[in-house]
Amino acid sequence: MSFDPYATIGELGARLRAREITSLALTRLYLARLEKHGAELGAVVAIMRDHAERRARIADSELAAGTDRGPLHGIPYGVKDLLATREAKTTWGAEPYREQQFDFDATVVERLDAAGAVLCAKLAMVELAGGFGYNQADASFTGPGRSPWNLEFWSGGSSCGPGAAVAAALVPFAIGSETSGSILTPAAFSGVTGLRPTYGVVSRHGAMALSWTLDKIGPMCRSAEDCGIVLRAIAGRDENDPTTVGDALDWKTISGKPLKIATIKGAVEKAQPAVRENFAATLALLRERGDTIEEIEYPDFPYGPTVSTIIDAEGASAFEELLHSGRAKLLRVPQDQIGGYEAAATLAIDYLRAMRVRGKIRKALLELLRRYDAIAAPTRASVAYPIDKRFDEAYPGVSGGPSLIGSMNLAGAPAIALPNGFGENRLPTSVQFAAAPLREPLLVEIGSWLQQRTEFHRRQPPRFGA
Amino acid sequence: MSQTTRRRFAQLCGAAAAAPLVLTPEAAAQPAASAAEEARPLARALTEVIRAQWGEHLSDAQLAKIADDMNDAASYVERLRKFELRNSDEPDVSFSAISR
Repeated sequence: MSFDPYATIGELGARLRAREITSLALTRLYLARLEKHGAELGAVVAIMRDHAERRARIADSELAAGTDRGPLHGIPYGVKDLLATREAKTTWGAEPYREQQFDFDATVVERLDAAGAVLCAKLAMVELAGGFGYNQADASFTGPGRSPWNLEFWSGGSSCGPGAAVAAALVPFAIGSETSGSILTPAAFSGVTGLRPTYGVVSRHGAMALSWTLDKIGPMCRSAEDCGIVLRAIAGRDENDPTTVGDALDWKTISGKPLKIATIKGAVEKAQPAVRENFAATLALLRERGDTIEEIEYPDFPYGPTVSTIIDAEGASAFEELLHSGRAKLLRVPQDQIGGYEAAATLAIDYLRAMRVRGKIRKALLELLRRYDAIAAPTRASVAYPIDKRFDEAYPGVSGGPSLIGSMNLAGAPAIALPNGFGENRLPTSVQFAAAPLREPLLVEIGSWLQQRTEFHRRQPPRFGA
Repeated sequence: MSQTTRRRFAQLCGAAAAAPLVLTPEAAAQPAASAAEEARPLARALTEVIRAQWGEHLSDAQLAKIADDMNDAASYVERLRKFELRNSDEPDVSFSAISR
């Protein structure tokens, strides 16, 4: 029987319900791809074959008995290895935590389990989600995450494993996390679709804490529509995470009407040429559907120092034990071995100042997002960085202007990143849309509309083709 | 400075995860050199705090690198410190006396 590992969740579900394939067969096909390609991509920490086959059998027997848990029933997936799982170690990508074992599942894993999805693997990540200031791709005990489009280039971070695994169809979808860029960047560098939810929409219970006021958990998938399916399964109030909100996402508001979209002055001038051209092509498509595109001056705030100060202070506190014990020296990246100590010297008055400035940033950006449905920008100003160079030496002179990623993370606002073409070395480029808090349905709508008219999300890295 | 600190890295290229930002043109135009000069005593003091608290876990080379980084970081944070705030601008955190 022919099988396309690059099929979407909807396509896989249709074949399951048509009895053309079983969840067990599907799961074994993805397990085989994880085993064959996971290591060369630096994408996998642990493959959970026994657990996955057991869950797939349950999914099959339920379907046979007429119990259908919804669109994720019987669909395999992987999680970034910062989510606690009872059935496998949770390493946080870092040598000091390589043997860490939790006796519970993260809420997100519980919810996907309840939705009938089949957890197949713990996926690689940059050590401690990059919280101590890494500046190189080789920043995990599993080695660098490699782009399936070109193994000499990085799959992005800190969700490097989810990015590479979805891009090479080792799993149909994965769960990543973002403190400030860690879903959107690997989505861009790997050529997949990633959705960063509004802060508080998805429970972080059981997730490694780097920054309590910035961390978010979200889906990385083949398409925007798939991101919507997964987000619906994992969102919602959780008594174990007091920051979560209730059933806040209104999926009925999707209208298809023309939108008002802002672009940022200075966002593309220093981007790589292909990034600039592909972004222009995306905007042209949106104009075709009647959307209004306006270039704006982005509000001027010290976004960089603000987000850095918050991550430094909260991250140093979250990993205080690692610093006091001296086990930070076991981290892979030399900068990470000292970065936590530097972060721990953040002055309390600077942290509180950052949180005060953050309030003004949030207010200004929410005001902007009252005037525009979404803000669009290239997700990254370049294609993926080469593995063998420090990030700051990868593309001299290339930059993206005011940071939509950092500023919107400070505001807790959602964003979606989707592939929109190819650039240098045949690596993917990506476009991002940010919107007001709780407007994830709109972002999925924009992404789905574009993906119905383009095929970039359908492209397969030649070396890892079906 | 032979290596790139997290904040300098953020200035240069817009890092991926922890500090994905680049300075606005206005910020880039600020007199970084003089800010660095002003920052040096504080950077030295903070490095001594690190040495006092965690020096046993750090080599001399690492402490020297930390001193460089702290110097660099202090000038980067200056833009945050100079941002105008009023007494009524509360931090964007919430505390509740009632359990949720």
